[in-house]
Amino acid sequence: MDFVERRKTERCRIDRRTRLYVRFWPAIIGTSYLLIGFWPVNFFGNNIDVFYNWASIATGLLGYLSACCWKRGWLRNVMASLALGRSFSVVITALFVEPPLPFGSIMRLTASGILAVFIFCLAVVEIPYLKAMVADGRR
Amino acid sequence: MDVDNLQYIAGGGTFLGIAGFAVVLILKLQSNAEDVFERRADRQSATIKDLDVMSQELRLRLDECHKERVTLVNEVINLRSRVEELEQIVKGNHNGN
Repeated sequence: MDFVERRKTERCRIDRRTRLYVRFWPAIIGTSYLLIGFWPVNFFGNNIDVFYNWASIATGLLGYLSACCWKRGWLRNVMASLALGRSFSVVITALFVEPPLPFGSIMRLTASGILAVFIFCLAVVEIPYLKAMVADGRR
Repeated sequence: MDVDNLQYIAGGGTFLGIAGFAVVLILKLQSNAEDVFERRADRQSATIKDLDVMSQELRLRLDECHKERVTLVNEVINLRSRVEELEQIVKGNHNGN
């Protein structure tokens, strides 16, 4: 008996809830980043806020696109990288702002930073499951 | 250099650096990753093949032991018949005397 072949040809090995979650979590992230992009809070009061708003909108749109084209892993890759890069960039920029940001803004930026790290970790951890789902879809 | 320019350089540079690093990292993970079931299937197949090899070795040893046992049993039978022959010879000699 060829054990490798038998085990690799089984379909639907990931349960339905996991499959739905892996497919659609970028849409949830996309919604939150679009909200941030279209109703922004301008922390720095100059053009860099515009850049961060556009980065949020781009992340949000990529989130929806990667939920639709879930088989294309690179879309999630770029979305998570944009979110992470934006958050780190905001942290570094906040160090140079004059006058220093109020406490409420710092807390909000911290929360968005934690969210971005969480998104990045999700994008990394889901890779084997996404591969399994794509491979199942091809059979 | 005023603070605004420093902000742009620091902010933009960090964004490009971190985003680029994250993209490369995830791309490497995606290209190297195997799906969870493939990994589990490979491990299970390796375990099953190892068990198969072990069971074949045990079967060979069992066969060898069985052959050795048959040989020994035949030797015992031969020795017993030889002992009986010798007993007959000794009895015959004793009766003749």
